[in-house]
Amino acid sequence: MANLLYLLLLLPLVGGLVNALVGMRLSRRLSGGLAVAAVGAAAALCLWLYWLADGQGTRVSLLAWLESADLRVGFGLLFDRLSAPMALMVTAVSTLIHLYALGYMRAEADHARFFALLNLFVFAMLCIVLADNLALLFLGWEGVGFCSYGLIGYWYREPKNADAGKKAFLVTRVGDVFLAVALLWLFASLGTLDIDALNARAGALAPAALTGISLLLLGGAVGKSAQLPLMTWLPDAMAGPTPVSALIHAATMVTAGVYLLCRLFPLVSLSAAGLQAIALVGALTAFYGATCALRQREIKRVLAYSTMSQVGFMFLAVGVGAASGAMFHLLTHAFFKALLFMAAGCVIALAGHENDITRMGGLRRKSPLVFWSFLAGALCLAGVPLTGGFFSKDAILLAAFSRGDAFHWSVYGLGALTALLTALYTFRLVYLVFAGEARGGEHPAGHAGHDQPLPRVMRWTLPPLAALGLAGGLLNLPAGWPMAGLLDGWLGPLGGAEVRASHALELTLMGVATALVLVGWLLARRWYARFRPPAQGGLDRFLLRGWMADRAYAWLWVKPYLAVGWLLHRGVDERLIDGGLDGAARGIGRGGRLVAAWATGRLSSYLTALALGLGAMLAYFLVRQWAGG
Amino acid sequence: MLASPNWTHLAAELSGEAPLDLSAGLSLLLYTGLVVGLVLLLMLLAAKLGHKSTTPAKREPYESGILPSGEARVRGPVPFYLVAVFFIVFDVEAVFIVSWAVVYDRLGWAGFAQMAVFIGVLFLALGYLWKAGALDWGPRAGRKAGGKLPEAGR
Amino acid sequence: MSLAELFSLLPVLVLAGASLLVLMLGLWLKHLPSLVALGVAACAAAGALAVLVPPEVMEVGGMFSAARYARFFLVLWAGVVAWTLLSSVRYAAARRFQPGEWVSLLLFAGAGMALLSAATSLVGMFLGLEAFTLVLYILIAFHRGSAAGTEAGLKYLVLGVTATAVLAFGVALVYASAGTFHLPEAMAGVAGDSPLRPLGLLGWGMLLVAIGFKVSLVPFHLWTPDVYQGAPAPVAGLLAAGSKGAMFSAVVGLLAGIGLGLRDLTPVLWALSGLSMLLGTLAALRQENVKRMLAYSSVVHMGFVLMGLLDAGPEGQEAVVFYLVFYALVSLGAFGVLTAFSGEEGEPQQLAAFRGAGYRHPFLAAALAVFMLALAGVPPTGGFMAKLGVFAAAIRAGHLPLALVGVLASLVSLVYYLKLVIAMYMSAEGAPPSGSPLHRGTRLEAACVGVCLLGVLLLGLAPGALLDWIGSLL
Repeated sequence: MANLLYLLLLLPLVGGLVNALVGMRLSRRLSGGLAVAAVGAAAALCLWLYWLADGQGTRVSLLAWLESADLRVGFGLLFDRLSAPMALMVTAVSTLIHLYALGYMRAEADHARFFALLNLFVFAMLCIVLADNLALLFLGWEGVGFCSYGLIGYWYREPKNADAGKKAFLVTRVGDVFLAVALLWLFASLGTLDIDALNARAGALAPAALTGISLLLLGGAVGKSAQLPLMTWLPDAMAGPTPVSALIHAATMVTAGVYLLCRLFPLVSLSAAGLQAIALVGALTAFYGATCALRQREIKRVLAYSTMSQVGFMFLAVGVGAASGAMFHLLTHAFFKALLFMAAGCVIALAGHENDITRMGGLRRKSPLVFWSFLAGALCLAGVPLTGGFFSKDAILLAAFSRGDAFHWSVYGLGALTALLTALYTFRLVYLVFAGEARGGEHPAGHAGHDQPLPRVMRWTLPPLAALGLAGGLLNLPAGWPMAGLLDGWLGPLGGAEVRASHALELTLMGVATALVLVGWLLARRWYARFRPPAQGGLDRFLLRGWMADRAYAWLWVKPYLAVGWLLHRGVDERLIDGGLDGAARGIGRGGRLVAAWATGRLSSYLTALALGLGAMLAYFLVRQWAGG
Repeated sequence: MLASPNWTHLAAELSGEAPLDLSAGLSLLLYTGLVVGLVLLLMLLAAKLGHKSTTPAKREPYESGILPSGEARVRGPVPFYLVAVFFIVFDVEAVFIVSWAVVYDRLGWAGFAQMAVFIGVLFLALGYLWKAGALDWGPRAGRKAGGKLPEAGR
Repeated sequence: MSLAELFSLLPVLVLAGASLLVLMLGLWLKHLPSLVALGVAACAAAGALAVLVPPEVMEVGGMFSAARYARFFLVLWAGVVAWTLLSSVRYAAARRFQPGEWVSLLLFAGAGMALLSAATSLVGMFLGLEAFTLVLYILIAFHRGSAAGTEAGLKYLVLGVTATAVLAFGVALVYASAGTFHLPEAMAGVAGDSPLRPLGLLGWGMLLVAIGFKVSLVPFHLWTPDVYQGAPAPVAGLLAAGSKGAMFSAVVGLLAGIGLGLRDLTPVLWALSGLSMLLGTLAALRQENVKRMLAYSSVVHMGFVLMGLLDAGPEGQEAVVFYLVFYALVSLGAFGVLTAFSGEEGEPQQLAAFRGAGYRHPFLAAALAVFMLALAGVPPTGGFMAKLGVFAAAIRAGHLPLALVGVLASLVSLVYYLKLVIAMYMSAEGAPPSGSPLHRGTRLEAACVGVCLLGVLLLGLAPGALLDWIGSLL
């Protein structure tokens, strides 16, 4: 029975390989259907096998993958109380997004490559989730990076897209290096890469080593999850197809960093400094993302910055010791953010392939279904009371506040401010897109596909996600509610420290949060309910360009790097090495001509050479004999 | 690659610390060196001091005053070489047979058998040549052999 | 010579007898394929006898061994001859080779090589060497219509006879120093305190010259490119695979008994090996003719083998024998592809003739490319293992600089091997500029090439089996 868990990995892998190898020979319907079926079957299987995660969970080990001296890395899976809900979320959301992609990609010629990469991505993501050791996790970690690269640059004929793919790959690679170093360090000091064993033995590490490893793990997580300071790739990654943004850059891959920290939470939580760093990074990124989202003009970039900001909340949760809070927010966020992205895809299609929200408007009448779905997602994102997002965000803020010292209070303050900004930019988005009159008129008319109806499969995948997002709070209601603390109870000790807070404090904070959402909504209503052309002030541009992070990095890293590269290429490689090699090659060639010319073809010269050789040999022996005896 | 200890040994010999026993070798070497050096010197001097001029007439091979005509590559009649080769082959056979005959009684039947095999193989070779037409030469060979041994007739 | 001795020599006798039989039969039977079948059957019979029927005495007439080492090489050479016969059926028929003589001479060459590998005395060595060298004089010039072949035959004859004379003189000097031809003992003359040591050393010098000529070591290598170029491709393959290998297999036996005398020979061997590797590589760089390039490559490879011989211990010998087997396979294969590519008119020799061959003759060209990579010593092929073995041997014997020279030569050699590969695969338009197109090759030829290809790859992937086997021979 337990061995069926391998099917979880195998199904998307086989689906991906089939599509990669023979996908182009299959019809579009078959290749897409295969991909959906593979992921759907994995989701069903995951649900069916869910009971295996109960208790201590289930471990299965297929074969030894790497074995060398002390290093034993098995191809083993760990299906426990942490990985099971994550795997279920990944497969379930993936299934819906795959379905959506069937419609979205209906006109693309190169569908097989898309579905192959999408399936392979699910496989790699499940590797991260289910791995029982860090080496296998790292394999999946690199795998999702590769698939993400391939999918961001899916429309690779446009240099902009290919560049975005490259940027994502390179920036996340910086984080991967930290993770790899952390892995090696852990192996060197504890002699194992097994996750359970690492968590159990972490206490044996020196405090300094613990802090170092925690920071390195944070570095890895920061790269994959687009947190400060490695966040610049995520907005550009929106160049990929919308299902990709929904799946990889909202629901799953960017949360891999959070998952990694939760997976190793027992280890990370031993280092107070590490936790504070995580909390700080999370809170700052949440604030940074929210401010940037305020002034973005492309709908998907707004969502990208909001993703960054929400993942920041999850980091904050881990940092204040509430791993279960992080997981809670991770799950609800996956639902509503996937929903938002998919709805955004519909919106873009409805607006005639228009990305700019200042040129939309009035879309509410065009498709009420899309409007209501998007609104559901937006309410969750803004944290309107009783939605999933409200409960999960509130749990995090509560956990931060209840730690009760200056650092955590300031972190809480930053989080609360971010919550306000979140509500503001979310409602700005809703108003600009759906309210008022259509402003697409400025756009050259007669845009192809303007009146093309949306495929049904695209529209009807939205309501299930909307329901999941809105009802996501049921997963982990706060104390005092019926069915409270489902996720906390399920995760048990894996969920981190228990939050101790009085009921009154809890209610107070909830009230504050509600008030913040209200304020945000009112401000947005006041500023955006009637469309005004966007302001062009310095601060606006500053926020639009993400605090000029790209430019700063260009000056700090890219330009010096290119200069060094130029020097090495022109100076060292071309002049010194190539020149030297060319010279050597010319010399060798000249020598070759000389030696080859020795074979004149004349028998007499051959005989002469033979005789000279004989003479030299005899002379040598004579001299040696005479001289040495 | 000359091992240096040997040279120190030589130095010891020359300085009288070791018994000197290389007079013969040394004189031979000196003599060889002198001869080679002298020959080289003479050739060098001749090449350097002598006046060189090349004219077309000088470059022609000397044919007793007659201008050479035609190529040096002329086809000669092969039968002569064939006779010579056959002679040598069977002459060598005779050497073996005679030397066996001198001591045939001591070699016994084993020797007889070996010689019989030897002669048998030679007879086979003779038969082969005969059948292949190597023994037919002269004007009729071309007609009779029909090109079995192409170079024999042409 | 007793019956038991004859019985122990039976596999060689089968080869020689079959050679005579085919020669006589060939006067009446002009059908090449059936004579080839007979020859291959004789090779198979000799090989089977060598493997299945244990010899009654270990040494025949004090000249030839019947031990496992000799039997191993007999099987190898019988296989080489059978392979050559099979792969050259079309080639020989197209050039109207006299069928009986062709098959008979090849069989006799096989017998001669087997005798040389089995030699346990200087006389036996001389006999075996001359037996197949004489055959080669004829075979090189076998194509009477080819002026280049005749020239090559003449060159090989004149130089070969000179080398033979030197060899005979050397044998005589060694005999004078030791008083015996028999091999381990004959080396006693150079082994240290013998009063006639100078004679023995001079004799060794002459032996080395003759050997250097036969296996084409610099500076005795000059005949090699001309002869390879002029000889028919199958004969050139036999020359590379068989004659050099047989010579070296005998040298292994020669050096085995030399003991301390090796100390005196080492500088000479060192110089010969280093010169061969360096100058051979340099000369090969400039060749536009594939056969000449292969000739220089054989010079380089013989330098490698000689380097392995510097370690006289069993491991060095193992490496050398492994190298010989590998080199036999790969050079047969390379010349086999040339044979298969040869049409009625001639052989493709210029690099330009191979342009684009990779697309029109996928299998043969791929095989040739693999052989080139194997010659260069690229890892998945047997060439890598073979070179590794001789480098290790040289380093064990304390000749790190020589091993470095070898590594350098290997690196540079990649250039000229890849030239051919590039011509076959990367010449854009892919059409040969002029001249006759390459022949497609028959199925039989492809099968023969396939056997070599398999062998070369197996030696690279699973060298252990052969190494163990060789280890048990020595």
